[in-house]
Amino acid sequence: MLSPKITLKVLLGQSEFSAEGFLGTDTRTPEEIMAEDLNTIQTLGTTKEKTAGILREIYVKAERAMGNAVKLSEKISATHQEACGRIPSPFPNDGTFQKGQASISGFADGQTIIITPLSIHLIEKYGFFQGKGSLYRIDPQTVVALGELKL
Amino acid sequence: MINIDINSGYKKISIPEGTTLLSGLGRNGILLPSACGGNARCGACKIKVLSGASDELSAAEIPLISPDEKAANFRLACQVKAERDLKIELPQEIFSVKQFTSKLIFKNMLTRDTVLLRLELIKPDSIDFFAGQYVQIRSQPYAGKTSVIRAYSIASSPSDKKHIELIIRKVPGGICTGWIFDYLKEGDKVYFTGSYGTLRLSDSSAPIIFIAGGSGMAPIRSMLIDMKEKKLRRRSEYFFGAITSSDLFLVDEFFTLQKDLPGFVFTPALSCEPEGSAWHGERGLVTEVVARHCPDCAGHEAYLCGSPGMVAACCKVLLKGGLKEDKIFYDKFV
Repeated sequence: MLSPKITLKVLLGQSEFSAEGFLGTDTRTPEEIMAEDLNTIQTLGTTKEKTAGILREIYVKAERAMGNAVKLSEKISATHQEACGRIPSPFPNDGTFQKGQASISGFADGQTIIITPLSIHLIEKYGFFQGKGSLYRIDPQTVVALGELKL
Repeated sequence: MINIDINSGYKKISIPEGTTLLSGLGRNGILLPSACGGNARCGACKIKVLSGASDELSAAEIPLISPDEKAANFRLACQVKAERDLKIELPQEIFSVKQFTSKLIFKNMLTRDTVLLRLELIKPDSIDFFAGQYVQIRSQPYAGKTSVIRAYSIASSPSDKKHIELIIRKVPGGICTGWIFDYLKEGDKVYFTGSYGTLRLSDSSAPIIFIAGGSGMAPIRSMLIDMKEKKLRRRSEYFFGAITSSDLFLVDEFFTLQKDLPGFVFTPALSCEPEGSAWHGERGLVTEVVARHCPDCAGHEAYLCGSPGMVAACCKVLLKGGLKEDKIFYDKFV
Protein backbone atom coordinates (compact mmCIF):
# COMPACT_ATOMS: atom_id res chain seq x y z
CA MET A 1 0.00 0.00 0.00
CA LEU A 2 1.46 3.35 -1.00
CA SER A 3 1.75 6.07 1.57
CA PRO A 4 -0.83 8.74 0.76
CA LYS A 5 2.05 11.19 0.42
CA ILE A 6 3.70 9.11 -2.29
CA THR A 7 1.44 9.47 -5.30
CA LEU A 8 1.85 7.70 -8.60
CA LYS A 9 2.87 11.02 -10.11
CA VAL A 10 5.79 11.18 -7.69
CA LEU A 11 6.79 7.55 -8.17
CA LEU A 12 6.75 7.83 -11.94
CA GLY A 13 8.46 11.21 -12.13
CA GLN A 14 12.16 11.97 -12.42
CA SER A 15 14.41 10.15 -9.98
CA GLU A 16 18.02 9.23 -9.40
CA PHE A 17 17.43 6.24 -11.64
CA SER A 18 15.41 7.81 -14.42
CA ALA A 19 16.46 11.14 -15.85
CA GLU A 20 13.14 11.86 -17.52
CA GLY A 21 10.77 9.74 -15.46
CA PHE A 22 8.04 7.68 -17.04
CA LEU A 23 5.32 10.25 -17.73
CA GLY A 24 6.86 12.16 -20.63
CA THR A 25 4.97 15.36 -21.46
CA ASP A 26 1.59 13.76 -20.88
CA THR A 27 -0.88 16.05 -19.14
CA ARG A 28 -3.04 13.13 -18.02
CA THR A 29 -2.63 11.63 -14.58
CA PRO A 30 -0.84 8.24 -14.37
CA GLU A 31 -4.15 6.68 -13.44
CA GLU A 32 -5.76 8.11 -16.59
CA ILE A 33 -2.86 6.94 -18.76
CA MET A 34 -3.14 3.42 -17.43
CA ALA A 35 -6.92 3.31 -17.66
CA GLU A 36 -6.99 4.52 -21.27
CA ASP A 37 -4.25 2.16 -22.40
CA LEU A 38 -5.87 -0.79 -20.67
CA ASN A 39 -9.14 0.11 -22.34
CA THR A 40 -7.36 0.17 -25.69
CA ILE A 41 -5.88 -3.26 -25.07
CA GLN A 42 -9.23 -4.71 -24.17
CA THR A 43 -10.81 -3.16 -27.25
CA LEU A 44 -8.08 -4.78 -29.35
CA GLY A 45 -8.95 -8.11 -27.79
CA THR A 46 -5.71 -8.72 -25.97
CA THR A 47 -4.21 -8.41 -22.50
CA LYS A 48 -1.32 -6.56 -20.90
CA GLU A 49 0.43 -9.89 -20.37
CA LYS A 50 0.18 -10.81 -24.05
CA THR A 51 1.42 -7.42 -25.20
CA ALA A 52 4.35 -7.68 -22.80
CA GLY A 53 5.06 -11.14 -24.18
CA ILE A 54 5.30 -9.77 -27.73
CA LEU A 55 7.79 -7.15 -26.67
CA ARG A 56 9.79 -9.65 -24.63
CA GLU A 57 10.09 -11.95 -27.63
CA ILE A 58 11.41 -9.09 -29.76
CA TYR A 59 13.80 -7.99 -27.04
CA VAL A 60 15.28 -11.44 -26.58
CA LYS A 61 15.64 -11.90 -30.33
CA ALA A 62 17.50 -8.58 -30.63
CA GLU A 63 19.64 -9.28 -27.57
CA ARG A 64 20.85 -12.55 -29.02
CA ALA A 65 22.11 -10.71 -32.10
CA MET A 66 24.56 -8.81 -29.88
CA GLY A 67 24.25 -5.40 -31.50
CA ASN A 68 23.44 -6.49 -35.04
CA ALA A 69 20.08 -5.60 -36.53
CA VAL A 70 17.48 -8.38 -36.57
CA LYS A 71 14.80 -8.29 -39.23
CA LEU A 72 11.26 -8.55 -37.87
CA SER A 73 9.70 -8.03 -41.28
CA GLU A 74 10.78 -6.81 -44.71
CA LYS A 75 11.16 -3.25 -43.43
CA ILE A 76 11.15 -3.44 -39.63
CA SER A 77 14.23 -4.41 -37.64
CA ALA A 78 15.34 -4.42 -34.02
CA THR A 79 18.81 -3.63 -32.67
CA HIS A 80 19.98 -4.22 -29.13
CA GLN A 81 22.35 -1.97 -27.21
CA GLU A 82 23.75 -3.52 -24.08
CA ALA A 83 24.47 -1.62 -20.89
CA CYS A 84 25.90 -2.82 -17.62
CA GLY A 85 24.02 -2.36 -14.38
CA ARG A 86 20.43 -2.65 -13.23
CA ILE A 87 17.65 -0.14 -12.79
CA PRO A 88 15.00 -0.41 -10.08
CA SER A 89 11.33 -0.34 -10.88
CA PRO A 90 9.71 2.95 -9.87
CA PHE A 91 7.14 0.91 -7.95
CA PRO A 92 8.17 -0.14 -4.43
CA ASN A 93 9.34 -3.69 -3.80
CA ASP A 94 9.41 -4.57 -7.48
CA GLY A 95 13.11 -5.33 -7.71
CA THR A 96 15.63 -4.28 -10.34
CA PHE A 97 15.89 -4.89 -14.06
CA GLN A 98 18.82 -5.26 -16.40
CA LYS A 99 19.76 -2.09 -18.26
CA GLY A 100 19.96 -2.27 -22.03
CA GLN A 101 17.49 -1.51 -24.78
CA ALA A 102 16.22 -2.75 -28.10
CA SER A 103 15.34 -0.14 -30.73
CA ILE A 104 12.77 -1.06 -33.35
CA SER A 105 12.81 1.00 -36.52
CA GLY A 106 11.58 0.88 -40.10
CA PHE A 107 8.00 1.93 -39.49
CA ALA A 108 6.25 3.83 -42.27
CA ASP A 109 5.80 6.89 -40.05
CA GLY A 110 9.51 6.99 -39.20
CA GLN A 111 9.06 6.36 -35.48
CA THR A 112 11.52 4.36 -33.43
CA ILE A 113 10.27 2.30 -30.53
CA ILE A 114 12.58 1.49 -27.63
CA ILE A 115 12.00 -1.53 -25.43
CA THR A 116 13.73 -2.20 -22.13
CA PRO A 117 13.30 -5.03 -19.63
CA LEU A 118 11.82 -2.47 -17.22
CA SER A 119 9.31 -1.13 -19.72
CA ILE A 120 8.20 -4.71 -20.43
CA HIS A 121 7.73 -5.31 -16.71
CA LEU A 122 5.71 -2.12 -16.25
CA ILE A 123 3.35 -3.17 -19.03
CA GLU A 124 3.07 -6.75 -17.84
CA LYS A 125 2.45 -6.02 -14.17
CA TYR A 126 0.69 -2.65 -14.24
CA GLY A 127 -0.54 -2.16 -17.79
CA PHE A 128 1.58 0.99 -17.77
CA PHE A 129 2.80 1.85 -21.27
CA GLN A 130 4.24 5.18 -20.05
CA GLY A 131 3.09 8.70 -20.80
CA LYS A 132 3.05 10.30 -24.23
CA GLY A 133 6.34 11.98 -24.90
CA SER A 134 8.28 9.42 -22.87
CA LEU A 135 11.20 7.99 -24.80
CA TYR A 136 10.07 4.52 -23.79
CA ARG A 137 6.32 4.81 -24.40
CA ILE A 138 4.91 2.23 -26.77
CA ASP A 139 1.35 2.61 -28.00
CA PRO A 140 -0.70 -0.54 -27.42
CA GLN A 141 -1.84 -0.49 -31.04
CA THR A 142 1.77 -0.61 -32.20
CA VAL A 143 2.49 -3.58 -29.98
CA VAL A 144 -0.48 -5.46 -31.36
CA ALA A 145 0.70 -4.70 -34.90
CA LEU A 146 4.16 -6.00 -34.01
CA GLY A 147 2.56 -9.14 -32.69
CA GLU A 148 1.08 -9.80 -36.08
CA LEU A 149 4.53 -10.03 -37.64
CA LYS A 150 5.85 -13.54 -37.97
CA LEU A 151 8.62 -13.21 -35.38
CA MET B 1 24.55 0.66 21.43
CA ILE B 2 24.50 -2.62 19.50
CA ASN B 3 27.64 -4.66 18.92
CA ILE B 4 28.57 -5.79 15.44
CA ASP B 5 31.06 -8.63 15.07
CA ILE B 6 32.58 -8.58 11.59
CA ASN B 7 34.29 -11.64 10.10
CA SER B 8 34.42 -13.62 13.35
CA GLY B 9 36.23 -11.05 15.42
CA TYR B 10 38.34 -9.47 12.69
CA LYS B 11 36.68 -6.17 13.51
CA LYS B 12 34.18 -5.18 16.18
CA ILE B 13 32.17 -1.99 16.18
CA SER B 14 29.18 -0.56 18.02
CA ILE B 15 26.35 1.34 16.39
CA PRO B 16 23.29 3.06 17.85
CA GLU B 17 20.23 0.84 18.28
CA GLY B 18 17.83 1.23 15.38
CA THR B 19 20.52 2.27 12.90
CA THR B 20 20.65 0.34 9.66
CA LEU B 21 23.77 -1.71 9.05
CA LEU B 22 24.54 0.34 5.94
CA SER B 23 24.47 3.57 7.89
CA GLY B 24 26.20 2.19 10.98
CA LEU B 25 29.02 0.60 9.01
CA GLY B 26 29.41 3.80 7.01
CA ARG B 27 29.82 5.86 10.18
CA ASN B 28 32.61 3.50 11.13
CA GLY B 29 34.43 3.99 7.86
CA ILE B 30 33.21 0.76 6.25
CA LEU B 31 31.74 1.88 2.94
CA LEU B 32 29.46 -0.67 1.31
CA PRO B 33 28.48 -0.12 -2.31
CA SER B 34 25.10 1.57 -2.74
CA ALA B 35 23.50 3.38 -5.65
CA CYS B 36 20.21 4.29 -4.01
CA GLY B 37 21.35 5.81 -0.75
CA GLY B 38 19.89 3.05 1.39
CA ASN B 39 16.36 2.98 0.00
CA ALA B 40 16.28 -0.74 -0.89
CA ARG B 41 16.08 -0.01 -4.59
CA CYS B 42 19.46 -1.00 -6.03
CA GLY B 43 20.36 -4.17 -4.11
CA ALA B 44 24.06 -3.29 -4.13
CA CYS B 45 24.55 -3.43 -0.34
CA LYS B 46 24.05 -7.19 0.10
CA ILE B 47 26.07 -8.70 2.93
CA LYS B 48 25.95 -11.90 4.95
CA VAL B 49 24.22 -11.55 8.29
CA LEU B 50 25.05 -14.66 10.26
CA SER B 51 23.07 -13.92 13.40
CA GLY B 52 21.11 -11.22 15.18
CA ALA B 53 18.69 -10.27 12.41
CA SER B 54 15.12 -11.42 11.94
CA ASP B 55 14.73 -14.56 9.89
CA GLU B 56 12.24 -13.07 7.47
CA LEU B 57 13.16 -10.75 4.64
CA SER B 58 11.38 -7.41 4.56
CA ALA B 59 8.98 -6.72 1.69
CA ALA B 60 11.62 -4.47 0.18
CA GLU B 61 14.26 -7.20 0.30
CA ILE B 62 12.20 -10.01 -1.22
CA PRO B 63 12.57 -8.96 -4.87
CA LEU B 64 16.26 -8.21 -4.41
CA ILE B 65 17.45 -11.34 -2.56
CA SER B 66 17.21 -14.63 -4.43
CA PRO B 67 16.26 -17.86 -2.62
CA ASP B 68 19.89 -19.03 -2.89
CA GLU B 69 21.12 -15.76 -1.42
CA LYS B 70 18.60 -15.99 1.41
CA ALA B 71 19.75 -19.52 2.16
CA ALA B 72 23.30 -18.18 2.31
CA ASN B 73 22.22 -15.50 4.80
CA PHE B 74 22.48 -12.53 2.48
CA ARG B 75 20.50 -9.45 3.49
CA LEU B 76 20.38 -5.84 2.36
CA ALA B 77 22.47 -3.82 4.78
CA CYS B 78 20.11 -0.87 4.31
CA GLN B 79 17.21 -2.94 5.59
CA VAL B 80 18.74 -4.67 8.58
CA LYS B 81 18.37 -2.54 11.68
CA ALA B 82 20.55 -3.00 14.73
CA GLU B 83 18.13 -4.29 17.33
CA ARG B 84 20.38 -6.86 18.96
CA ASP B 85 24.04 -7.85 18.61
CA LEU B 86 24.84 -8.94 15.09
CA LYS B 87 27.45 -11.14 13.46
CA ILE B 88 28.12 -10.29 9.85
CA GLU B 89 30.51 -11.28 7.12
CA LEU B 90 32.05 -8.82 4.67
CA PRO B 91 34.40 -9.33 1.74
CA GLN B 92 37.90 -8.48 2.94
CA GLU B 93 38.43 -5.81 0.27
CA ILE B 94 35.61 -3.74 1.79
CA PHE B 95 37.94 -2.67 4.60
CA SER B 96 40.18 -0.95 2.06
CA VAL B 97 37.36 1.06 0.49
CA LYS B 98 37.75 4.82 0.89
CA GLN B 99 36.11 8.01 -0.29
CA PHE B 100 38.27 9.81 -2.80
CA THR B 101 38.49 13.31 -4.18
CA SER B 102 40.15 13.38 -7.57
CA LYS B 103 40.62 15.71 -10.51
CA LEU B 104 39.87 14.89 -14.13
CA ILE B 105 43.12 15.47 -15.98
CA PHE B 106 42.34 13.79 -19.28
CA LYS B 107 39.13 13.16 -21.19
CA ASN B 108 39.44 11.45 -24.54
CA MET B 109 36.62 10.36 -26.82
CA LEU B 110 37.54 6.88 -27.98
CA THR B 111 34.48 6.53 -30.23
CA ARG B 112 31.32 8.59 -30.67
CA ASP B 113 29.86 7.08 -27.50
CA THR B 114 32.85 5.86 -25.46
CA VAL B 115 35.18 8.00 -23.41
CA LEU B 116 38.40 7.41 -21.47
CA LEU B 117 38.82 9.43 -18.28
CA ARG B 118 42.06 9.78 -16.36
CA LEU B 119 41.64 10.91 -12.75
CA GLU B 120 44.45 12.20 -10.54
CA LEU B 121 43.89 11.41 -6.88
CA ILE B 122 43.89 14.34 -4.50
CA LYS B 123 42.67 13.07 -1.16
CA PRO B 124 43.70 10.45 -0.36
CA ASP B 125 46.42 10.75 -2.95
CA SER B 126 46.93 7.05 -3.54
CA ILE B 127 44.77 3.97 -4.06
CA ASP B 128 45.36 0.25 -3.75
CA PHE B 129 43.25 -2.01 -5.90
CA PHE B 130 43.30 -5.29 -7.80
CA ALA B 131 42.97 -5.35 -11.56
CA GLY B 132 39.32 -6.21 -12.16
CA GLN B 133 37.83 -4.04 -9.44
CA TYR B 134 35.50 -1.09 -9.82
CA VAL B 135 34.74 2.26 -8.21
CA GLN B 136 31.49 4.12 -7.58
CA ILE B 137 31.47 7.58 -9.11
CA ARG B 138 29.19 10.33 -7.80
CA SER B 139 27.97 12.61 -10.57
CA GLN B 140 27.27 16.28 -9.93
CA PRO B 141 23.79 17.84 -10.36
CA TYR B 142 23.14 19.39 -13.78
CA ALA B 143 20.20 20.57 -15.86
CA GLY B 144 17.73 19.68 -13.12
CA LYS B 145 19.19 16.17 -12.69
CA THR B 146 20.07 15.02 -9.20
CA SER B 147 23.49 13.70 -8.16
CA VAL B 148 23.68 9.92 -8.64
CA ILE B 149 26.11 7.09 -7.95
CA ARG B 150 27.17 4.62 -10.63
CA ALA B 151 29.78 1.85 -10.78
CA TYR B 152 32.59 1.71 -13.36
CA SER B 153 35.46 -0.77 -13.69
CA ILE B 154 38.98 0.58 -13.34
CA ALA B 155 40.81 0.40 -16.67
CA SER B 156 44.33 1.28 -15.53
CA SER B 157 47.14 -0.63 -13.87
CA PRO B 158 47.20 -1.10 -10.08
CA SER B 159 50.86 -0.07 -10.16
CA ASP B 160 49.82 3.55 -10.78
CA LYS B 161 48.59 4.43 -7.34
CA LYS B 162 48.17 8.14 -8.03
CA HIS B 163 45.69 7.81 -10.88
CA ILE B 164 42.84 5.71 -12.15
CA GLU B 165 41.47 5.47 -15.66
CA LEU B 166 37.91 4.61 -16.61
CA ILE B 167 36.43 3.61 -19.96
CA ILE B 168 32.76 4.63 -20.04
CA ARG B 169 30.08 4.20 -22.68
CA LYS B 170 27.22 6.66 -22.91
CA VAL B 171 23.88 5.20 -21.84
CA PRO B 172 20.96 6.77 -23.78
CA GLY B 173 19.15 8.97 -21.27
CA GLY B 174 21.64 8.06 -18.56
CA ILE B 175 22.03 10.59 -15.75
CA CYS B 176 25.66 9.85 -14.85
CA THR B 177 26.92 9.34 -18.39
CA GLY B 178 25.00 12.47 -19.42
CA TRP B 179 27.06 14.39 -16.87
CA ILE B 180 30.32 12.69 -17.88
CA PHE B 181 29.89 13.23 -21.59
CA ASP B 182 28.22 16.65 -21.69
CA TYR B 183 29.31 18.53 -18.57
CA LEU B 184 32.44 17.06 -16.98
CA LYS B 185 35.57 18.98 -18.06
CA GLU B 186 39.27 18.48 -17.51
CA GLY B 187 40.19 20.15 -14.23
CA ASP B 188 36.85 19.33 -12.58
CA LYS B 189 36.73 17.45 -9.30
CA VAL B 190 35.40 13.89 -9.37
CA TYR B 191 34.32 12.13 -6.17
CA PHE B 192 34.28 8.36 -5.90
CA THR B 193 34.47 5.45 -3.47
CA GLY B 194 36.38 2.27 -4.02
CA SER B 195 37.68 -0.06 -4.84
CA TYR B 196 35.04 -2.79 -4.89
CA GLY B 197 34.54 -6.17 -6.45
CA THR B 198 35.90 -9.67 -6.31
CA LEU B 199 36.78 -10.12 -9.99
CA ARG B 200 40.50 -10.66 -10.32
CA LEU B 201 42.98 -12.89 -12.10
CA SER B 202 43.58 -16.22 -10.43
CA ASP B 203 47.03 -17.26 -9.32
CA SER B 204 47.04 -20.27 -11.62
CA SER B 205 49.04 -20.68 -14.80
CA ALA B 206 46.03 -21.72 -16.87
CA PRO B 207 45.75 -20.04 -20.28
CA ILE B 208 43.22 -17.21 -20.32
CA ILE B 209 40.39 -16.24 -22.64
CA PHE B 210 39.25 -12.63 -22.23
CA ILE B 211 36.00 -11.57 -23.94
CA ALA B 212 34.52 -8.07 -23.87
CA GLY B 213 33.26 -5.37 -26.18
CA GLY B 214 32.97 -1.64 -25.72
CA SER B 215 33.50 -0.37 -22.20
CA GLY B 216 33.68 -3.98 -21.02
CA MET B 217 37.31 -3.68 -22.03
CA ALA B 218 38.06 -1.72 -18.85
CA PRO B 219 38.81 -4.49 -16.31
CA ILE B 220 40.51 -6.59 -18.98
CA ARG B 221 42.85 -3.74 -19.91
CA SER B 222 43.72 -3.37 -16.24
CA MET B 223 44.43 -7.10 -15.96
CA LEU B 224 46.58 -7.27 -19.10
CA ILE B 225 48.70 -4.26 -18.19
CA ASP B 226 49.10 -5.76 -14.71
CA MET B 227 50.22 -9.04 -16.27
CA LYS B 228 52.81 -7.26 -18.40
CA GLU B 229 54.19 -5.30 -15.45
CA LYS B 230 54.40 -8.40 -13.29
CA LYS B 231 55.95 -10.35 -16.19
CA LEU B 232 53.35 -13.10 -15.83
CA ARG B 233 53.91 -15.81 -18.40
CA ARG B 234 50.41 -17.07 -19.05
CA ARG B 235 49.02 -17.59 -22.52
CA SER B 236 46.11 -15.25 -23.05
CA GLU B 237 43.87 -14.07 -25.84
CA TYR B 238 41.53 -11.08 -25.74
CA PHE B 239 38.53 -11.23 -28.06
CA PHE B 240 37.26 -7.67 -28.49
CA GLY B 241 33.81 -7.75 -30.09
CA ALA B 242 32.47 -4.75 -32.01
CA ILE B 243 29.92 -4.06 -34.74
CA THR B 244 32.01 -2.14 -37.27
CA SER B 245 35.53 -0.75 -37.39
CA SER B 246 34.23 2.63 -36.15
CA ASP B 247 33.41 0.95 -32.83
CA LEU B 248 36.99 -0.20 -32.25
CA PHE B 249 39.34 1.73 -29.97
CA LEU B 250 42.77 1.39 -28.34
CA VAL B 251 43.58 -1.13 -31.05
CA ASP B 252 47.16 0.12 -31.45
CA GLU B 253 47.69 -0.12 -27.70
CA PHE B 254 46.62 -3.76 -27.64
CA PHE B 255 48.66 -4.73 -30.69
CA THR B 256 51.66 -3.13 -28.97
CA LEU B 257 50.84 -5.14 -25.86
CA GLN B 258 50.82 -8.23 -28.06
CA LYS B 259 54.52 -7.59 -28.69
CA ASP B 260 55.34 -6.73 -25.09
CA LEU B 261 53.40 -9.43 -23.24
CA PRO B 262 54.66 -12.90 -24.12
CA GLY B 263 51.89 -15.32 -25.04
CA PHE B 264 49.24 -12.61 -25.49
CA VAL B 265 47.13 -12.42 -28.64
CA PHE B 266 44.71 -9.61 -29.40
CA THR B 267 41.76 -10.57 -31.61
CA PRO B 268 39.28 -7.84 -32.50
CA ALA B 269 36.15 -9.22 -34.18
CA LEU B 270 33.61 -7.23 -36.20
CA SER B 271 30.09 -8.58 -36.58
CA CYS B 272 28.70 -6.19 -39.19
CA GLU B 273 31.62 -4.66 -41.03
CA PRO B 274 30.69 -3.97 -44.67
CA GLU B 275 31.94 -6.49 -47.18
CA GLY B 276 34.89 -5.26 -49.15
CA SER B 277 36.05 -2.82 -46.47
CA ALA B 278 39.70 -2.44 -45.57
CA TRP B 279 39.21 -4.64 -42.51
CA HIS B 280 41.30 -7.81 -42.70
CA GLY B 281 40.67 -9.04 -39.16
CA GLU B 282 38.11 -11.49 -37.86
CA ARG B 283 34.48 -11.15 -38.87
CA GLY B 284 31.39 -12.50 -37.14
CA LEU B 285 29.84 -12.38 -33.70
CA VAL B 286 32.48 -12.53 -31.00
CA THR B 287 31.04 -15.86 -29.86
CA GLU B 288 31.55 -17.29 -33.36
CA VAL B 289 35.13 -16.06 -33.44
CA VAL B 290 35.84 -17.50 -29.99
CA ALA B 291 34.41 -20.84 -31.11
CA ARG B 292 36.69 -20.82 -34.18
CA HIS B 293 39.81 -19.89 -32.22
CA CYS B 294 39.14 -21.99 -29.13
CA PRO B 295 37.31 -25.14 -30.17
CA ASP B 296 39.03 -26.93 -27.31
CA CYS B 297 39.41 -24.74 -24.23
CA ALA B 298 39.46 -27.39 -21.53
CA GLY B 299 41.97 -26.30 -18.95
CA HIS B 300 41.52 -22.60 -19.73
CA GLU B 301 40.07 -19.84 -17.60
CA ALA B 302 37.77 -17.17 -19.02
CA TYR B 303 37.20 -13.60 -17.89
CA LEU B 304 34.16 -11.91 -19.36
CA CYS B 305 32.80 -8.40 -19.12
CA GLY B 306 29.45 -7.48 -20.61
CA SER B 307 25.72 -7.70 -20.17
CA PRO B 308 24.13 -10.91 -18.85
CA GLY B 309 22.99 -11.74 -22.39
CA MET B 310 26.50 -11.48 -23.77
CA VAL B 311 27.96 -13.40 -20.83
CA ALA B 312 25.38 -16.16 -21.26
CA ALA B 313 26.13 -16.47 -24.97
CA CYS B 314 29.87 -16.66 -24.31
CA CYS B 315 29.43 -19.20 -21.53
CA LYS B 316 27.54 -21.45 -23.92
CA VAL B 317 30.43 -21.44 -26.38
CA LEU B 318 33.09 -21.89 -23.72
CA LEU B 319 31.31 -24.75 -22.01
CA LYS B 320 30.89 -26.46 -25.37
CA GLY B 321 34.65 -26.11 -25.80
CA GLY B 322 35.21 -27.97 -22.56
CA LEU B 323 35.96 -25.05 -20.27
CA LYS B 324 34.68 -25.74 -16.76
CA GLU B 325 31.86 -23.55 -15.44
CA ASP B 326 33.75 -22.65 -12.27
CA LYS B 327 36.58 -21.32 -14.40
CA ILE B 328 34.42 -18.64 -16.03
CA PHE B 329 34.66 -15.33 -14.17
CA TYR B 330 32.72 -12.10 -14.57
CA ASP B 331 31.85 -9.20 -12.35
CA LYS B 332 28.49 -9.68 -10.77
CA PHE B 333 28.08 -6.01 -10.09
CA VAL B 334 26.32 -5.89 -13.41
